[in-house]
Amino acid sequence: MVEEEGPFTPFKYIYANILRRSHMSVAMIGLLTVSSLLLLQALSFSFEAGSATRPESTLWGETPVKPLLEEMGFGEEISSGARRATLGVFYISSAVSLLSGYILLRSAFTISMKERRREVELLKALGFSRGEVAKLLVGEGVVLALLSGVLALFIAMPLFVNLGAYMISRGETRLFFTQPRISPLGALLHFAVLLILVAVALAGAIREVEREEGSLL
Amino acid sequence: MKESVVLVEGVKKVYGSGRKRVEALRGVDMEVKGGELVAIMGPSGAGKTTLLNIISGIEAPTKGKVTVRGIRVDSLNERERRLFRRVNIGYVFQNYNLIPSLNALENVLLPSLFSEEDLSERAMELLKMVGLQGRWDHLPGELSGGERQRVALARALLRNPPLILADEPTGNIDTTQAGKLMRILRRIAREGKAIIVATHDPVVASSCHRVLRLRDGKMGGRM
Repeated sequence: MVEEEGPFTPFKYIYANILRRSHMSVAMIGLLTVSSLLLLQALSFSFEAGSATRPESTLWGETPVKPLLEEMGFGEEISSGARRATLGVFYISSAVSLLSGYILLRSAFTISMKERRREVELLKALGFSRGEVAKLLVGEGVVLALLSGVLALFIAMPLFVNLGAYMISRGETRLFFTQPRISPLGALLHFAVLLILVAVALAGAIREVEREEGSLL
Repeated sequence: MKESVVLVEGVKKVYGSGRKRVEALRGVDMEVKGGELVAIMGPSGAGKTTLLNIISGIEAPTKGKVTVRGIRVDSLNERERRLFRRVNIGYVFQNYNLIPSLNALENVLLPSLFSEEDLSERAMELLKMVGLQGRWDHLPGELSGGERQRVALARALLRNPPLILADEPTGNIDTTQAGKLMRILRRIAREGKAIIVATHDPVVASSCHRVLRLRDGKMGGRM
């Protein structure tokens, strides 16, 4: 920090940690962005599947995936068995994406917590309570998650959706030019689920580290 | 007669049980008054760190009484001990224990992290006192061992605790730097604080007011 105005706050601590441990932060943001992307995929798969049967429930609006769905027979008369099977694939993909996202997050946090054992021990020796130390760790997780969520939503997701559409249509669509429309509700849902995932993964990581190496907090 | 800051009476500490039973402290008595700089000398494994941890309430004694400024530390619960430590004790570790991502000033301010109080000015004064005012914005990685230890000392003083505990503070720094640190400690003692330094370095011990010898968990007389 250039200016040192006012008291040293938990926010400044988190900010300094993210900024000055940049190698770790970049790695964390990378991993978090990928899991955030998987999460978006899970959400959009579910909702694409839903909107294919009920157009009014569209969450993501016009995405390049939508014409593909139409081509696959949604919106037209197809047998209910085929519809169910396709929807099933979508939902299973969602579940797999969500699970992969969680596992990634969890591993990232476990590595990060192991690296910071000494820091936590020092804070406790200085007289910080479990709650205060947890606030610092969770605060940092939340800041990183929000950053990654924005990256995933506005950069990584459009990139992948366009790339996917480009590959499936064998190069007939334009690449990287269609920005999928993201509804506010969709974005909100994304961040809500992301934060819940981060909280669960962080708690799980702390518990795992404590089981393996003894009490952390 | 100066007021007694630390009073340790018949403190025993036993780790483990059965065949793995280790007696780290076998009945230690000591007293340190305000304004005193006391060295606890002894070979490694003599129980120096255990004794400091018991005085600061990080560990509880198996037997005996520990009184710091009239507070019976051994009878406090976990939460009370934490609050007690915050107010009464400044700790200096052998390996400095600075947070690498925080600059010198931020490291000094660390104990005030969750308080509303703005102690930046006091922190700057402390850095000046330890001779590092010009380097407040340096990260620990950019400071020498001796300088890091002086930052750690400034951090220990931030809340103005009556008792400073230093565990092998000169263990990782050269003799010139060690001499500098001891001069600062003597000056702090003169201001009325009680300081206990655990060390196995006779040079460090000789610059203290009093030396207590700890051997096999017992006090082995004065020097």
